Amino acid sequence: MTLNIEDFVEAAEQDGLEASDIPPAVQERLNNALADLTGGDNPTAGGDDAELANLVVSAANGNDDDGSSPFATIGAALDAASADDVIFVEPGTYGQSTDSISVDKSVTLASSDGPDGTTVESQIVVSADDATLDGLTVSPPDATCNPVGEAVLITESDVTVQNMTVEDFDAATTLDEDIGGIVAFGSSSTPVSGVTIQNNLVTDIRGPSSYGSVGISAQGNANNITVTDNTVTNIGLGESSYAFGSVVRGSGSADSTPSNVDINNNDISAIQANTPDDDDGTVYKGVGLGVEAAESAISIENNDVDDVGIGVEIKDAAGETTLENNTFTRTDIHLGDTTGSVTLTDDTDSTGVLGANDFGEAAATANVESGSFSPSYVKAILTSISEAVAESSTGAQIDVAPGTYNEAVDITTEGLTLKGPNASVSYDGTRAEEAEIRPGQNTDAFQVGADNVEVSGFDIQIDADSMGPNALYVTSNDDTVGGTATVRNNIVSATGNVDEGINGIFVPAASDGPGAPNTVLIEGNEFDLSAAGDGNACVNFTFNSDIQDEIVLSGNKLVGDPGALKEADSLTVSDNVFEIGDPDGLQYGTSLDLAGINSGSIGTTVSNEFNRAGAGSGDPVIDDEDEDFNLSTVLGNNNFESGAGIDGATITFD
Amino acid sequence: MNRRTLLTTIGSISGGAAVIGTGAFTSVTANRDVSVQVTGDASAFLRIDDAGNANSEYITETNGEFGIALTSDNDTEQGGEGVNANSTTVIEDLFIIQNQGTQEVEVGVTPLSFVDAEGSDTLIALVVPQSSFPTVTLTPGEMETYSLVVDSFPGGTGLEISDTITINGEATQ
Repeated sequence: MTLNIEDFVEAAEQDGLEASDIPPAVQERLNNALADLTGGDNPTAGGDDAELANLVVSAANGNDDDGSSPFATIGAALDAASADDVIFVEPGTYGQSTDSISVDKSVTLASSDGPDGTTVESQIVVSADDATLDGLTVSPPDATCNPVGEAVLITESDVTVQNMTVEDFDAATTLDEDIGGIVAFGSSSTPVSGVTIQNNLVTDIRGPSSYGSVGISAQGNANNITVTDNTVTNIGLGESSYAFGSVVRGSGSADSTPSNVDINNNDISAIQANTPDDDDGTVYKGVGLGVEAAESAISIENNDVDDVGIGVEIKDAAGETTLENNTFTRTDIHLGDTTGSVTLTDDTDSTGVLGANDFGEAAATANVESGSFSPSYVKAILTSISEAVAESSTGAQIDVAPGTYNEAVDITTEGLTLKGPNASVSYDGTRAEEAEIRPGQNTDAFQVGADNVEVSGFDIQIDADSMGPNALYVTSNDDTVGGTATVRNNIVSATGNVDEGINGIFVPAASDGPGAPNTVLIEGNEFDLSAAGDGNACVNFTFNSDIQDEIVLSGNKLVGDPGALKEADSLTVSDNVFEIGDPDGLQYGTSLDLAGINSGSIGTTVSNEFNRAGAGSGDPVIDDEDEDFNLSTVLGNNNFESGAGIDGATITFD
Repeated sequence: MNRRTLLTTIGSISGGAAVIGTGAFTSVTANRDVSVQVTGDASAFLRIDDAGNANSEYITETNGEFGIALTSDNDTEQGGEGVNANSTTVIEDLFIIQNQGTQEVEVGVTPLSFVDAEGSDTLIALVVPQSSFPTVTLTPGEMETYSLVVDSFPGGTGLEISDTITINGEATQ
């Protein structure tokens, strides 16, 4: 028995050893080893006669004169090849022509030593079923119109393009179409399917200034296309009108658009169009991943997208596109959706793209203000809360991903709902990873200057070395009283060294400045600014009283100085935990101040807990300076650590 | 046709190494004593063992299960931890499979080739039977010897084959 490598290839099951895995030189030495082992003195393969290496192309040693291997050119080898042949291309430079190389037979065209040093300087068109390109470098001259604008174009089915380097492909100045690295294209008459594009490097693709650049795409009448484990970088190079790392899109010469396309495990970076920034919005930035097809089953998973204008752009098929486990870094816009059908978040966040992908810091708005972007996005995921707020229309919900946001958020649009990751989890619940809001020193974290705004589920920390900053500064649209302000389920803290004069929530009066909300709902929050000083107010309604219809302070924890409430038609203070700080040396003490309040429910429905957290016996807990409030009711309806009593207009700890 | 199958399992091949475990069984009709014992590969009905030469260093045995390891986890006494890059390594007469049962069996080893590639770097391992390919028929007491050919090219440093093989012995009648 004499074995050679062909025996093992034939015996291998699917996905086992293949002829194209073994360059001729390796075949030769393996056959020699097998001959030694299996008693053969007449190896059945070896060198240029190796049965598996049907054809060899060698720039150094081949010639095309006699029609036999080794050939000098790839074209001559293709002419001589039969179906299922493997053509090994030895190191060298091939092509060197504006004419494309047409792989029009079901063969494998593979480099013998990998893409380094084996360069094809022509475009390649794969126009035969079951053909494979493996391990070549393709670097064509500038594209004119021959044949089209793709370095590697696949026009038939069951084609594999793998382990290739496609690089340095530009458009000639006369070209009026896009430039592509690797493109699977199906026309109306010739659909393509079963194409695999894997483990390739596509880099430095530069389209015309009025057209686009594409790294890898499935285009037209194409289905069952797999794009996996590729590296796509430097596409557009800041010079083409638009650019895509990988895109699924239609074509004017195809009657349908791609379906069943899997784009997974690719690294995509540096996708740059020639209009990267615009003061009025964003115009055709480079897109990492694009979906422009109206067909079905587009899967975009486990890709890393870095340094692009738009991480992913959905222009169609939103409901048919799975976008999961992708990572986006250094994007100007994480996601743009012109369809309005992308599910940004859901109740469990299991299907919402915000939770299903890693965008880093990200704020998703479900209602983009018209005209903010071109193309016009209906939904978007942006890289900061401020940007999401600025680009949102009235009534929009903005969902914020976990992360640290070093920004101050100024809200002037009515009806916005800003939801952090814990929007539905009270301060003492099991909270998810937080969205941490960290504005600069002596800066408000949120300035709310619009009616009907909700801020929920954040971790807000202000830093102060002087009086003035607030975690939330809450006013209304103008100098009137109107709307509802909701502050719910936030963790509010402070750093610095200011004994008093900074606030968790600060609500000024309408008549002395900006307007104020008519209804204020403060629920489920923790306010603890004591790290900056016990006298800093958790909740501070100031100036004039009697301007709100309703104030609800419910289910919160307030540490240090609870602050001051004001008169409202309905005042409800229930189910809170007050940790009263040490008032010594403070101008305004650490009590809950009710001056200006004649009536209200404090612990009537659900009692509050008033505990000592630095306050001692005789220190005030609740202070009613104008002596209008029925403190006896308050004393009876609430729980005071170690007891309390009424001393004039003050409830004090025993 | 009264056919019996001895199906062995499976371990891992790492850096060009295979691990094979096995069990064996017998059965009788009622009213007889039944005794079934699981033993190590070296003493099973389908014996899988090293070939009793210096290359036995590349063979491992864990809990009675045979394996091949050409890795740093099974370095040689002289400190060898793997094959050379851009080379062909032949390990002749590495292991044997012997029919220690009572019937003639056809033995198949699958797969007989392994490949791992990273870019242009490739690592190939071939399991080479001595007398018959791809399967071998062994009468009771007969054995087949297997060698290993490993090729790494052009570099291959960092590549690793970690896979399993299946050895199947099936009675021919």
